[in-house]
Amino acid sequence: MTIIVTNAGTMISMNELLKQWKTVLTALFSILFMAAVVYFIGSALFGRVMTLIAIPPISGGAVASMITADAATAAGHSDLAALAMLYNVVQMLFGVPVSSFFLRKYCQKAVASGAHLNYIESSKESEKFNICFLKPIRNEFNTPNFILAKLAIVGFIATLLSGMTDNSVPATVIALVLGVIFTEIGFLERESLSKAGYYGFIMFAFMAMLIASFSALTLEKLISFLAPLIVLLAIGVAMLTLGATIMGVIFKMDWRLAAALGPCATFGYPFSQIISEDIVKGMDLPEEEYGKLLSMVMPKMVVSGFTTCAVASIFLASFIAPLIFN
Amino acid sequence: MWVYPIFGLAILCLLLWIGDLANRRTKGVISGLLVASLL
Repeated sequence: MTIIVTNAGTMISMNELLKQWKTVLTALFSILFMAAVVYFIGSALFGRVMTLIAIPPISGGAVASMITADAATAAGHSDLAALAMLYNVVQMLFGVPVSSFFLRKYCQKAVASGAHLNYIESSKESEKFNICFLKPIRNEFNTPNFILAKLAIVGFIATLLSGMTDNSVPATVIALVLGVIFTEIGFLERESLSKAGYYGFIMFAFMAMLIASFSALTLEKLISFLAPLIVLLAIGVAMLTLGATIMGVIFKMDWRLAAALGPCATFGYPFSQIISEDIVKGMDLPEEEYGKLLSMVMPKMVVSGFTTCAVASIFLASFIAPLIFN
Repeated sequence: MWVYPIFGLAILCLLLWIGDLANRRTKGVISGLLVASLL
């Protein structure tokens, strides 16, 4: 698990996050808002455990769901581990339509008012955050095994540090932070596992470990999970949208755009990019205007999905998972 | 230290990496010898 989370850390670009700080704060607030509301309503309706199982997957992607499922399996509740993975699979069905709807509304308004024509791309700014001091290693030495070894070393340091705190700070949280730091100083490669060609294999190996929990899932159990699954996802997506809208109003962002950013937590990258491209394409604009409108919405959608799926949800899951069965 | 599987993975990958480098220098002789010894 620490390998997967360290790899998530290598995907985080501090420059991109700093540049889009309003989007980052909007995304963070939306998942905290969602977690608080879902916890209070869900606990009253379905009980505390069922609600805590739902919050990490709704707030992020596969890694947060895996952390939750792992905790459930370790506590001997393999059916609940399956439920956590079920949230991960089904949440897109709720998040994508809502996000697309608001994004389309925003694009229609931008095209009607011509706001996209005056948009100046800020991506060519100089990089503010640069602490890289290690020289890149020569390609002939940088073999897939070496990339994986470096990831494992960082994961191992995270495990040791977590042990020093008596596991009060979860190893996954330290792994994520170390993943970011070691990438920024140049020790780890960006998107290490993909670069080494091990991403598919590692995810497959982890899924193979989790798949055993599905054998404990009977049809009766699955049917009994449907109500919390649908209700908590509906409340979760509504609260993600509402939370992002509130923050959007505070930051004087267009509320439609802010509302589209909230549900990005349910699908993340690359779907945030695909949806942005699809909707902007649907506006039927000339090539130049298409590019301008796309650069207006896509970085925000991608950063929002990224902040929630790759950063915040892992933190949230790492802290919530040990509390679920306490 | 040895109780952590991830430490074992790090060591294993480093050994494989040394194997990669050695192979490059010896143009596959080492892996050839390894395969031969396994057979």
